[in-house]
Amino acid sequence: MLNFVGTKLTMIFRAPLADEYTVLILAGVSSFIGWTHFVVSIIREMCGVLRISAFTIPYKLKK
Amino acid sequence: MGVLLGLDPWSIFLVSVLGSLPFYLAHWEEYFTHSLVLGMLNGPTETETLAIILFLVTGVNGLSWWKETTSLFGGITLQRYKMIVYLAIVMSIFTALQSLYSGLRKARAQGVTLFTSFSQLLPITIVWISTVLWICFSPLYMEHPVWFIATFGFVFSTLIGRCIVQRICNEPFRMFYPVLIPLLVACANTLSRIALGYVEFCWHKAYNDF
Repeated sequence: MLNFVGTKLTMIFRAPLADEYTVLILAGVSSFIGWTHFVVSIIREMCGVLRISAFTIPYKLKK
Repeated sequence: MGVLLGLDPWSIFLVSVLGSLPFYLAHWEEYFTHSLVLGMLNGPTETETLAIILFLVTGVNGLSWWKETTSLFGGITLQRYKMIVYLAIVMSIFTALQSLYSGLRKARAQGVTLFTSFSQLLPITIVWISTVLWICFSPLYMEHPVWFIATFGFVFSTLIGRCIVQRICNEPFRMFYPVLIPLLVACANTLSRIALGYVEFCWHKAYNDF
């Protein structure tokens, strides 16, 4: 029984689980999207708060 | 700069990961001290000056000059580019430890517990550990080093940006960020080789001649 389960698991889970090259490309692209999302969200927030007056806004906010 | 010095992909990876260490810790330290101390040779100005000097030296002497061996004190001979790599490693670790000590001391003075202080470093620790494991065990690194380093760069850039915003706006640190997911998935996929018996420590194989 254990041998059967082991054989089936080996058939299902081959190493690596997914093609490494595909995962590499997807990781690169999705991390770029995450970084872009962060940069855009910060710029939008800054522009919203400071009404696009300057990029020194966070320092003004501290006062 | 790594390509400029004729570094192999493993040295470039080592310098990029270790170079990110003091930079992040300096900004984390500023969260408590409210003053950004980047340390010796760790500031943007010094780095740019160093890059200019290295460009000039390579322009005058050629790329092969970095591969030549030179004798140090005590009869030790070493290739010039390796000297730069070792110097970068020592300086990075020294500056990082300095920032860590200073940040923790200030945090304790402000009544912040050690657990809270260290938990703020959890996301970046996940990035460093998963990147090292992913790159060391992936057989693709030597073929596509740019993709690996770019992925690490984007994730690190997002986290350092978050850290800067958090310390400027006095926001609390979060324990996890969605941008970590692609890195963790890629690392888990590569590590499945170990779990399923396909152990292959690519770093060791490729780094033997270093």
